[in-house]
Amino acid sequence: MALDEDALNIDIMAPRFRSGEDRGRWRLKDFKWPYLFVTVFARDGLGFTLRLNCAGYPVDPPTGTFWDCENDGVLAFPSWPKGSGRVTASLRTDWQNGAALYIPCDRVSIHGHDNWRSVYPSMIWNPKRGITQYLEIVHDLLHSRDYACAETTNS
Amino acid sequence: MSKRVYIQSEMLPDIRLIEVEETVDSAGLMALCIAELPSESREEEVFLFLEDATDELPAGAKLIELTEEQGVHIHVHRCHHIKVTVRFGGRTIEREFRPGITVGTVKKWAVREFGMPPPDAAEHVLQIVGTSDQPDVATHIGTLAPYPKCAVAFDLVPSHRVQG
Repeated sequence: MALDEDALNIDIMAPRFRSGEDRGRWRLKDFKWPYLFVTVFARDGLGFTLRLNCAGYPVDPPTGTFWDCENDGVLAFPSWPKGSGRVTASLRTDWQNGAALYIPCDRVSIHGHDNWRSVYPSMIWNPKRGITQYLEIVHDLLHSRDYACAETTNS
Repeated sequence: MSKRVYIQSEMLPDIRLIEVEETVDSAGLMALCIAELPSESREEEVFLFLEDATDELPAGAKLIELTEEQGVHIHVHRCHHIKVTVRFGGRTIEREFRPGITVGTVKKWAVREFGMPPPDAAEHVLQIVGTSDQPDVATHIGTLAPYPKCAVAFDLVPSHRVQG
């Protein structure tokens, strides 16, 4: 097993990840290297599954998007979490055609945004925090004032 | 039947997980938690707290009597209390909490004290004074306030809206 795959395996078995599952914040759905599928739960109880490409983990940040597991593709845009403010700023369907979330700990989105390192230091990828950092940020967005109930769920 | 016990402590670099029989009492749980601490810390006097509880784990109580949850969150600390300070809008508030209180619970207290409406409160986070660290809501404040200082200070700041 490659080092990055091994490291991710360790982190999804680690107490920090499992604690989030026991708290009902997220749930591991599937793991097909280099992809990790995790359902993150919003404040209205709806679940949104992320597909996270974790190649190079944990040195390189993951990159993720909302995924439709039944159709094995990016979740149809009308089914993405809806809202305003922080939610629409980060969960953008017009960024990378929905292939990556617009958050500083995303491998694709940080590219070309070096200013984010000083503007959003707490959201910059930290290998020590690992995959739960990404999940905590998405969970926070789905529990923010700016999140509005979605019409459908893909959990 | 067993339960998953998640341990946070100022003496541990990260959360630890142990599987514990639900019939274990507080003394037994204390022994199991101490065994998870670094060897140099095992002789210290420590106290055990259930997450967000207002008191120590009651003596003699069995784990099954304390919570129905399958995952139990425990805190081990050398202090009885943590002095918490929060600054916002030129005001400073302060009170003592048990070490097992979460950052999320401290924030709820702070926004109430500052008179912030709930919709606005959801858009603010606690940031450790003098840093850019914004601990996750599930973090026990005891992990941020090691013995003997047993104190932590936060600024209440707006959540980041990513742009640019």
